[in-house]
Amino acid sequence: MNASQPYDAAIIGGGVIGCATALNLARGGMRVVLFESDGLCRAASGRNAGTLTMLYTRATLIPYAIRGREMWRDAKEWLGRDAGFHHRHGLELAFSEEVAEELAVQHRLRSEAGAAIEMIGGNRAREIEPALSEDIVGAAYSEIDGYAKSYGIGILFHAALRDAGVTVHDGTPVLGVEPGPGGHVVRWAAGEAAARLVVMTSNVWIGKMAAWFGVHFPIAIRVNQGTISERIRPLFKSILRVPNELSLKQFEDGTVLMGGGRGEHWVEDADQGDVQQDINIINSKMAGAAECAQRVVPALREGRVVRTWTGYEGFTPDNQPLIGPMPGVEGVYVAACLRSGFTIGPFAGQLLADQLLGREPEMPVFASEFDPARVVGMEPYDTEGPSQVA
Amino acid sequence: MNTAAPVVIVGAGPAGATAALSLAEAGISSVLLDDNGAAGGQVWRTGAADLGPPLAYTDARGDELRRDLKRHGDLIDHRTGHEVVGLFPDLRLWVLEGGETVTSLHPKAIVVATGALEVFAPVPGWTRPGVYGLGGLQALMKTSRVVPDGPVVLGGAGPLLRLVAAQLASFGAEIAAVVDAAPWPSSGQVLRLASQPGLLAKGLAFEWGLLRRGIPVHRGSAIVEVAGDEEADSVLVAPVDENWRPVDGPRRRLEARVVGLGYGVRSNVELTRLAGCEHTFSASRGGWHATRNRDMETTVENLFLAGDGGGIGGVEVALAEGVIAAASVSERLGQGDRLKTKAAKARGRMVDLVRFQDALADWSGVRPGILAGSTEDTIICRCEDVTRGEIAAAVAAGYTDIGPVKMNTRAGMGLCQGRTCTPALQAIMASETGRPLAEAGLPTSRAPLRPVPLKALAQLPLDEAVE
Repeated sequence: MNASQPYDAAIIGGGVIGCATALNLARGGMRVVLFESDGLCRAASGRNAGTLTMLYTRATLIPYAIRGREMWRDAKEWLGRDAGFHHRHGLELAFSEEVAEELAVQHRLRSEAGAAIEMIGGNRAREIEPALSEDIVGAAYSEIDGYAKSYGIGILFHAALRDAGVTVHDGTPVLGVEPGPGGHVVRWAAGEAAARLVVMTSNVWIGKMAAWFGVHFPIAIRVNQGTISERIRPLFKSILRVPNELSLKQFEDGTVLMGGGRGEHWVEDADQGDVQQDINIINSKMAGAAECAQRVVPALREGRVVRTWTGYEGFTPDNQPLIGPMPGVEGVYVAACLRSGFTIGPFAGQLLADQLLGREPEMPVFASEFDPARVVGMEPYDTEGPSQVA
Repeated sequence: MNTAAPVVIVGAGPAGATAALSLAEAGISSVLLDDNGAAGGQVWRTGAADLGPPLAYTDARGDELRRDLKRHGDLIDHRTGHEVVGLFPDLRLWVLEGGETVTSLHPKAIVVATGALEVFAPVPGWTRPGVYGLGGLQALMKTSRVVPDGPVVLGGAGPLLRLVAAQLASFGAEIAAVVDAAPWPSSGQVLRLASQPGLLAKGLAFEWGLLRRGIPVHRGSAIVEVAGDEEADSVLVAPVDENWRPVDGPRRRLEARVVGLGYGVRSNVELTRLAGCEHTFSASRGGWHATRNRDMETTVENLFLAGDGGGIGGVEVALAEGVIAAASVSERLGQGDRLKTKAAKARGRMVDLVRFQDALADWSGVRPGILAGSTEDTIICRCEDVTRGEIAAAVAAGYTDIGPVKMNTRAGMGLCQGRTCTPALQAIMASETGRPLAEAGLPTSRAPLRPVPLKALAQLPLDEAVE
């Protein structure tokens, strides 16, 4: 293969969406190069808790999340490898009638969008999950929930991308994209590559990268924390969630993953340094996660935490994804800030690839509510405001 | 609890305890935290007083140290059973007490003196019951006088190997053989080791202890397999080259109910990594360690480091560094330079001690072939059951940095958080990528450094206002 021959597509950002897009474009016949500044699926794609859920996916994205979950379940078919999918029940828990009523309102929208979510009482919740606290008065229940092994997805994509002939430049921060003959030139420290199309799947880094084109995307960056326990005797099977605080699951090996914690923490810049060294963040996150986890499953009290980590989540001003053309730039596309990126990622990559290959996508992907141009000039997401999920 | 002490020292081994004692001499109070029940660290570990006669080759300075700490109890707040599970760049610490409660400290200066960790080289069968680290075997002897039953084979390299052998033998253990990866030291090495006649004499005494009891020492050899139905019952010994890679030659199977393995020690970098200190790789100092200036200060202001944690130097270097660190802390706190003369003397001693350490590393320091005895199926991370083959597969898939390899394979992500498998993981990374060991990278440290009960974490103060 001629190295100076331009690529059909350059993907910038090797998370789930970038990898899935690259894979599908290559299988559709394109010559594809993928850039990732760290390792594949090493940021949000690998650090998230792996939950595949309808319970906290925004209603607009429910149809996409249903398909995304199915793709993780059927990863052998399209990724060629098992992604560690497990079907579980999902329970979003209310400790007060007031919260239960709020959940009912939120979940009505999701149900209308196709998610089978049922409001149940505390006793029914404890029938489904006996380890739950007596203090739980109600729950939103989704029979269809589950998880995939987010931390081990990168290695699967590496192999699949290689089999599909994608050139992977990992550990390679892209320094800029400029107009070039036949499209664009992607530049990094040790070289450059020409590509007809550029797809930017860089999630929280999309704001910085859009600036290469003079486009301003107001992106708010939230710090999320994961906390994992040692192996504990089997206590619960469902995926549990307390609104705006915590998600909780126990893996087959007995470890319990707590995603979340107390308070919301935001950073201005995803490259500002190691947030794990900010004691105030991890203190409140970890203490909050530990406190909440025991509130939900009292038997967790005696369990021990072995590790914590953080990851970033990007918020657009209206809390909807950026998927579509880069405003005013021919041949450059964006898919970022989905906030259910792990669940939807494989499907989003497939849709995006179909769109760019000139095929009819299974669901609309360049939809007006996802159009990146809409956020230009908007006030950033209100990080002080009430927490949002619906 | 007194959280107002301006200085916290982490680790009550020779370096940390000496730092506390030196500060006390200058009239400065400190909190001395240690996870053990008594001061002394690993090297001067002690057991209950009623255990009987002391272990052979026991250094009387350990008891002296413990007496001195007691005597200065008014200035030294020595807290046993306290594990530091977090250290942050702003010098805040999380302390786990008795495995049950977490408190927070925020001193003006910290001296980290957490010493060294053993280096393990996994071989087939190394996770069988009956296989111990050399340091672990020694700790058992020191704290409870447990003497292994049945034939013992010890393998590895370095001074600890023969010390443990000689100590076990003096207690009546049946030492079937000592398997040393290093050859006899060359005459040049012996000459350099002789720069510290006292230390060389100690080494010779261990050697003589083995010879006198007729314990065979297989030099230039390594244990390449531990066999048995369930528990260990034999080891396979193979000759190795100067890089410790097994070579062709006669292999022998030795009966062994207890196997002790240890390839020297490396700096314990968990705390300095967590605090964001800069680290460097030095083959002659046991690999990675935090960098320091001549005052023992790390790249994080007011965070000092003494002893093996700053590069392996042994107990004599640790004692000297404890004094120097204390002098620096005293000056930093504006408490005067009363320790200046003492520190200058300690610095003088360091020059020769470092030369000795170089010679020691030259003879028995970790070689690149340390993992050549492992196979595809050998478990490297025993917390998460990750094999060498799985790690190699992650590298082959395209992950060439240690972080993503850990994330994808789970190696080093279990209960011990990589305390056991990190050197092996680094060696595999180096071997699979063809890069030098120094470029295999250092894993990230994350709080909590030790398992902490959820109920204890839930009590962490949310608004840090500890002063």
